[in-house]
Amino acid sequence: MSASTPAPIIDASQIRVQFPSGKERLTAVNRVDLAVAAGECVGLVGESGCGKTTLGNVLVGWVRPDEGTVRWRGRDIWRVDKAVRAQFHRDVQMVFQDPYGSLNPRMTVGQTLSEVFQQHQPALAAPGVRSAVDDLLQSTGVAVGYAACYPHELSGGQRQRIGLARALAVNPSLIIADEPVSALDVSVQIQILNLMKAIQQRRSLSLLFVAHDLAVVRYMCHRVLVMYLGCLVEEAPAEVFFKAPAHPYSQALLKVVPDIARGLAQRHVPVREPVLQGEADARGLAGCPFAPRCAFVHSKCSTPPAMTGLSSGHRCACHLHG
Amino acid sequence: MATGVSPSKNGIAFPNNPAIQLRGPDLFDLTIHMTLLTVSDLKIDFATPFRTVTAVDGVSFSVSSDSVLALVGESGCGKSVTALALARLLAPTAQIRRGDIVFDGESVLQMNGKRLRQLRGRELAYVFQDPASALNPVFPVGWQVVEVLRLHDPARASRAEVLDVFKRVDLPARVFECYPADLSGGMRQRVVIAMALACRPRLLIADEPTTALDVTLQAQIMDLILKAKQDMGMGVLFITHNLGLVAQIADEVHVMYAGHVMESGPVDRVLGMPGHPYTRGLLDAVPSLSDASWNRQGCLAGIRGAVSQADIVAAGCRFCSRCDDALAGCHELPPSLSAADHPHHKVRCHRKGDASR
Repeated sequence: MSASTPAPIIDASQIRVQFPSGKERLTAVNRVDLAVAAGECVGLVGESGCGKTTLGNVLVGWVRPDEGTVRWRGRDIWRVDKAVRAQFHRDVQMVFQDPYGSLNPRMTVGQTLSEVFQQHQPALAAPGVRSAVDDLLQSTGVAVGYAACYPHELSGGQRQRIGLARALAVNPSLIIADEPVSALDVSVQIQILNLMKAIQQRRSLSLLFVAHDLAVVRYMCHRVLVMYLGCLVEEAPAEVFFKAPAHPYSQALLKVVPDIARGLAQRHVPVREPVLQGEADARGLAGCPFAPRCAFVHSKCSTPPAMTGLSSGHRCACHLHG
Repeated sequence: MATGVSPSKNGIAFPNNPAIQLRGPDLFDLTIHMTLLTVSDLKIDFATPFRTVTAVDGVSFSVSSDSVLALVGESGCGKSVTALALARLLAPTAQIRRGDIVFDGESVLQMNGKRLRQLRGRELAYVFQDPASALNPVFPVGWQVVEVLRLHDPARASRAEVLDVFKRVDLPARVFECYPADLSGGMRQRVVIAMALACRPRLLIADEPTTALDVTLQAQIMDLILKAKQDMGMGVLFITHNLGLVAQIADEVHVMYAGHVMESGPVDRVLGMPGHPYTRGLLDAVPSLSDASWNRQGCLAGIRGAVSQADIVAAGCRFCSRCDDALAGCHELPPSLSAADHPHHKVRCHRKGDASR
């Protein structure tokens, strides 16, 4: 977003999304700014219900924001003609959390992948499609023989590789990955992360990595965005964020992630200080959304804090830093 | 370290308990840690239309009161099957072929239906991964907790008692009348834990209790289970694949792979000085938050491949198809689970004597 970064692939500003909830309207995303530059991997973290998936859906063009604009390569995606819109949908792809739910159980892996080519490259003849599918499978580490298999015949890791292959089939420049590894075993998780990292570097792909595991985000991302109850509370380059998180929520999140080395070191500590009690609750909030759970809450927190810059690329919405 | 360890006959080593470490082994018979559950040489087969699959093979462990034993491993390694077998909750297609399960001196395998019903929920309680499917959607959750008390402890079957249990798991009283659908995932899991703790069980079996939850809720739920463990002197069998949680809360850990225990021992030994390539691989697969040397350019190795059915029927070591350290002999001769350089740290690997990498 700063002047030094290259032009963003996608640039969302002041995004606000509301959903009807009974008689009221629930604000799922509240005035969020977000940009992803070419070749950049951005981590979007927060608890469930904080709006990170909705924000992902806005960026991919499935949810129209009530306020704010989403610009893809400088063009507002809700004000372009059909042809440009189709280009946008090719350029920005999605990988889902549940690889089984996102694959058609009645289509083989080969059919699922060739459908993409038939749709987007109708000129390609059958042998061409077949070799393109084989290339895709190879580049995502699935044996070519699996093209004839149905999703239920694959393991969770293989299914997620197919989900990734399908997203890569149209050669996108941005992939939005919504919790792509949180349903997987640790050993498979690291294989998928390594694969995504390799592909991201090889193709200089942009990646928006939506996750709640900060250790995974630290492993993958250049930049971290933290959301809480629909609001962006902190944005920082990864090396700054993991060394010196500014927002009390980010600090608490980092404290509760179980870590092997830290766990072994703190084994003899009899009672750990409780961090982050309670759950996020948006009802009746006027000021800072995190105030009811914050350890540093004071009188100022009854007014909503504004996003303020702390250092280059590091912004935080908290009165402690205001 | 060795002086602080109670003999194997007495169950689990407690190198982390300062009381035992200071007093030495002579006082072990006065120890408050009493062996609750002993599983010995358990083998469980599943009959399929085509063949028999051995899900658990020769698993032995014991859980003492006021301690946490963790079973870790990838999905399909037999952790949950082992846990379900402890109260004989396995499907009819499963058969316990060998071994014994002894709860407080009584063999679970010999118990009749009536005794089993007394055991389940009262002395031995479960918490499963998915709280939504553990609760009945058409009854208020408070009623469902009362039901447990009515069954096992009718004198305490009252709203007041349930609210008391709710208080212990940080649930507000208004939740009593709520239906499961009205509650968040974290609240539902608290209700399930309240249900499990209502009869003050002596052993809690927690099968991935936090896998479906956020990290913040995970920390809250784990604190809750640990607090209950301390207050009631409960033994906990904790099943997970999250090694970070194991490092934080468990006293002893058994690492399972394809139905076998590959490595077992005190947590700081197994995770700090892993003897088995599988344990090392699991540890290498977890991105760290505290490792200062790590940067984004780095690459974690993890373990290649995945668990396969072929591993279970392999003639040699079950892990050798994925092991980078495998020798020719590993493919032919199954290794046995035997002590490494610490009497309570056991490793099932032919190469454990070699200087580890």
